[in-house]
Amino acid sequence: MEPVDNDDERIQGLLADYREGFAPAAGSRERVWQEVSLASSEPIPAPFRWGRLRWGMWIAGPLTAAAAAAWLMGWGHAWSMRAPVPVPDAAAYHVDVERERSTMTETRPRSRSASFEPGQLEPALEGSATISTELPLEGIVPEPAPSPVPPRLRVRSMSPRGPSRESPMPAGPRIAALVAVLEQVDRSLHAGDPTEALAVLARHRDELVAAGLGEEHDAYELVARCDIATGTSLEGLEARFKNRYSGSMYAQRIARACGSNE
Amino acid sequence: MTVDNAAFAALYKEHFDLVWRTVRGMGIPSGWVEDLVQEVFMAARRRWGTFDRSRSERGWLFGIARNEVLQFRRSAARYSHRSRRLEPPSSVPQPDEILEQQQAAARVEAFLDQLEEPVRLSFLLSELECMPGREVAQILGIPLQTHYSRVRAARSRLATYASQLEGSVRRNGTRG
Repeated sequence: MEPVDNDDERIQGLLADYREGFAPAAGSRERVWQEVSLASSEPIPAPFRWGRLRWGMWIAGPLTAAAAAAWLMGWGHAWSMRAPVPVPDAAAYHVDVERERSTMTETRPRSRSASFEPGQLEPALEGSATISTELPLEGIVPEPAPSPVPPRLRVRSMSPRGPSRESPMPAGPRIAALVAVLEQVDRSLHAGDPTEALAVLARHRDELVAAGLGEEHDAYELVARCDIATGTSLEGLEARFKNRYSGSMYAQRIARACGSNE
Repeated sequence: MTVDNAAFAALYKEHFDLVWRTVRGMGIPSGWVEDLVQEVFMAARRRWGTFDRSRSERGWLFGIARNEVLQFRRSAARYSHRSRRLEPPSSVPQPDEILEQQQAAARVEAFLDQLEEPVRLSFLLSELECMPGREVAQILGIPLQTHYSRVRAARSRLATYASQLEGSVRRNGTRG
């Protein structure tokens, strides 16, 4: 039995309010589950069985001892007297490395475009040899073209966060406004104020995601967080971003901000 | 889906709220709670294979949550003055009842912030999560009596705090 008396109604009322008032936000349960499932695509490791290890030790122990004894009894000497293994010369190695590099250079763009579903990207982006390492703010300002959405923004958002709300504003001005938001975020980051950037992103998260700018939102958010907290607990977030947006054009900037090796 | 996945899903379903409240109760700002909770469950999933099923699931999850929170605090410590600014102002109008509830919850949160970490953890698990004293003592690795004395101390301080709150509300009401 608990020795603490529970008859104080004021306290109980406060505690009940706390439980109710800080209950999980709507939809967060589903969002977190989706992220957890997405990030760990590999199967859960099977429970470790100490029994197996114990049997393994019983078998491996004597085998190791026998091998050591054989080595001491002279087999090791015979082994060391074998003909020397030919060492490849440095020039041949250099050629191999160069060949490998050129192969990597050739296959890189192909693998990148293959990571997206057809139709998610405009043809303008596919096949382009150079990939911008900065967040392309200048390029995403809408032009007076027939389509109000600039081509390179037509990356379908994979972000599950937030409900997709329909805005009463027409698509063109809405995108322009959201681009302005992203520009503001970018300015804050360059001004060394990632907290401001995060606050702006938090305010406009749902709109950005609904407008297909989920990747941009997540990229900026990650960069800002890495700017704030230099790495330690953000490796998981970075890995998740890479997992969700494989081949993202923001990967290099994120890697720079988070201090990881791309 | 394998049996392990189903078991993990069941664990998630059952203890999501506990992890959420624990993270929140340990003083993480609301804007970061979801991410921290996510980190907790991802860590849990990674370690799922090594989890001893004879142990308490919520105790195990609480341990992971505490580690994640401590890690978060360490990395954010230098920027604590900034992280407070991360709370975006709520622009969505809410019914009075919910607003009052949230204000009360915020008061309890302010109270929790005043408690020393060991007292806070005992109080959090015992009073807010309603865990039995023995389980809490086991989770925190402390003697049962130590846990009880911490909870008693916290409750006594909360009673004082609640009286002060009522007094200030009454004073404000009289003025208004």
